[in-house]
Parts: sequence; C-alpha cells; structure tokens
Amino acid sequence: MRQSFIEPRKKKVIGSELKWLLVSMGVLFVLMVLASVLLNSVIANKEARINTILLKEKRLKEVQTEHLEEIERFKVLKKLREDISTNNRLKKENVKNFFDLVPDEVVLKSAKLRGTTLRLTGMTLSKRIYNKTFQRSLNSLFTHSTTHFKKIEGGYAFRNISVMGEK
Amino acid sequence: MKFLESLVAKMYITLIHSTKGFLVYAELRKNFKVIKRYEAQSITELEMLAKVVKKLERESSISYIALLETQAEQGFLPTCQAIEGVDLSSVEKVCVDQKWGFYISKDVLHDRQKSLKKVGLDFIFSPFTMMHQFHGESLQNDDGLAVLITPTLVLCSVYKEGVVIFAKETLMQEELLLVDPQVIVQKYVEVLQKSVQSFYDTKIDDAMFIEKVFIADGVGFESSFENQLEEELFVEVTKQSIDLSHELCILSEMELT
Repeated sequence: MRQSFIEPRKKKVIGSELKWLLVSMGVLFVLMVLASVLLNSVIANKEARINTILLKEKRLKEVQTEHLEEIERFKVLKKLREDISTNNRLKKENVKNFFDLVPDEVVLKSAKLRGTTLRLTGMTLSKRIYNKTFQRSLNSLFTHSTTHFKKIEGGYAFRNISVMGEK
Repeated sequence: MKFLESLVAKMYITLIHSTKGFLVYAELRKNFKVIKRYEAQSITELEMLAKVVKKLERESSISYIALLETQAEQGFLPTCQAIEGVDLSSVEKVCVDQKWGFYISKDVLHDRQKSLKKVGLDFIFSPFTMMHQFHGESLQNDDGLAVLITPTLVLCSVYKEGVVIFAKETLMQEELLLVDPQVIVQKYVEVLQKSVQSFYDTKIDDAMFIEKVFIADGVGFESSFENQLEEELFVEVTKQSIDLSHELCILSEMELT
C-alpha cells in the first residue's frame, strides 16, 4: 500500500559510466570478432595458396622423376645399342675372319651360328687336307669341334659342330 | 529491470527537518537487511545538503531519497471514503488499511519538491505513516493515545479498535533550542495535555477516556518526561525511543515492494 505522498523517480540500474563501459566493451568485442574473421580469411587464403604450391611441387617432382627414369632408360638402351653394335661388328669381323680361314680345298655349303655353337656343312676333296688346315683352325677357335665325313662322288661331304665353351 | 534491481544493494538516504536545517542519514540495504550505515549529519545549507546527498548517492547505482515532512501541516481523515461536501482535489491523500487517512496540500508538496530540487526527492512520508508504522501493531488491540515526537513536530493520535479516530499535530520550531531541559520537558507535556484536551473537546467519542499513552520518542527525553506526564495526565505512559532516520529507511524500502 502506497504511503509516500510522491512517486519515486525512475532509476537506472546501469549508470552512465557503466553503460559507456559496456558499450565500449561491446564495440571492442565486435571489432575483435571482425578482426578474427578477417585474419581467419587471410590465413585460409594463404593456406590454400601454400597447398596449391605444394601440389604443383609434388607434380613437378613426379614429372622430374618420370624424366629421370626416361633418361635412365635411354642410357640403358644406348648402352645396349652400343653393346649390340659392338657385338655385331665383332661378329661381322669374326665371320669375315672365319671365312678367311676356309681353305680353297674346302667348300662350305652352310654355316649356322646359334649362341656358342657353330654348325657347318660342306664338302672337301681330301679329308687329310681338311683335318690339317680347316680342322686345326676350328680347334684353335672353339673348345670342342667334331667333324663327320661321308664319301661322295669326287670327295667328302662333311658336317661339323663346334662349340665355344668356357675354359 | 526489477530483477536487476533486486540484485543491487540500494542506498536509502533520509532527510529529517531539524531545528536548524536537515538531519541527513543513509543506509545501504538489500532485501531488508542493512549492509552499511552512514553517520548522520546535521546540515543547515541547501547547497551543502545537495553536495552531501550526491556524495552518498555515488555509493550505489540505485539510491532513493526520502523526506519525513514534519514542517508542513497535514490533515487527518477519519475515513478513506469520499466525504460529502469536502473537495480533496487540492490535496494528496494517503489511506491506511482502507479505514482512515491523512493528506497534505499539493501546493506544499510542490513547494517542497521545488526547494529540494537540487537534492531530488523520491519519497515524502508523513509523520502519520511513521507513527502508524511504529505504534500500529501494539495499538491494534489496545486503545489509547499514540504520540510521535520529532525535533520539529509532535503528533498525537487517538486509536480505538486499531483505527485512528482523532489526530492533532503541533509544530515545534524553537522549543528544543531552550537552554533548560526541564523547561523543554514542560513545554512538551503541555502540548500533550492540549492534544488530549482537544480530543475531549471534539466529543468524537464521549465514552472514551485516555488511560494509556504510547510515546515514540525521536528526540531522546529522559525518564523524567514519562514521570511528569503520568503525574499531569493521570495516565499509564509507555515510552520507546525511535530512530527516525532508520525507520524512514525501512519505510522507503517497504514502499518499493
């Protein structure tokens, strides 16, 4: 029940100083939130750029590795080509040298070189001349060399197997 | 807002007219408990009064300033109902228990608020309220004369069956400035005698004879006052000291509930 002759004046629980303080804190908080959002955005952009760069670097390394492997493969192929070329040249020279060893009294019908085995067929007028000349050359070149003769008209047909094994 | 207010300890600043200005007192209160009391100060100049009050107001975010109006005359209303032929538009009325009331002139209220504009007022309480607050309960079942003594006023009310049926206030401007304490006591005894006589003269209740006097002493009389009163009026006197400023703080807090 009202006992006072007058009504009390309206009161403010929050004083002007406290009001200003709260407003200032509010503004500060908003600024901090905005700064935080801005910083997060900048950081996210930077991270995205770093990820892109890392991805590119990884891709470049992969390409580099592919190229290096290709170079290695080319090197191997080159060496192989050189080896083959050398072998072929040597074989060519050997074949040439080999055919130089064939005396006039021996006529070669076929010569097949497979691996380290040489198979020869042909004919000769004389076994003696064959053994003294051509067989000696074969013996000096191969580890094993065996010849079979067959009497034919006007001479001997022969079949020779020569093997170049390890000594 | 009410919830926020309930969390804050409020400052209740009270002003009581004294013989030479105002008695200023304050209490920091929360939920009807006193947290801190501030020493009463007697101030004569209004400028100084405003300065002291503003300083006290800074002690809490919410403060209320209450004045006990003991210098302006106030009228007694034996009923709270509208009285035929009496225009109460020029006065501010307060009812007690919907049974009786009191009033003050709106012009006086306006003047008081204007003169204390620099201080600012939230409540203006009547001595009737103070007296009823102090004596009301004990006079619910006990008829007699209730007296409130302040430095500038003596208020006498006759209670019958818990309701005030007669009231008389006497302004005391210079009496407390007298040098001889015995003379002061005599002056106050005379005031009470005159009040009792006025009650009998009005013939409001011919059958009622005042046998008991309940005094709320806000000035601090010695027991000789009681003795003299008992001898002069042939009554049983019960005198209790009243801390007017503290009671005014309680009234202010109650007014907000």
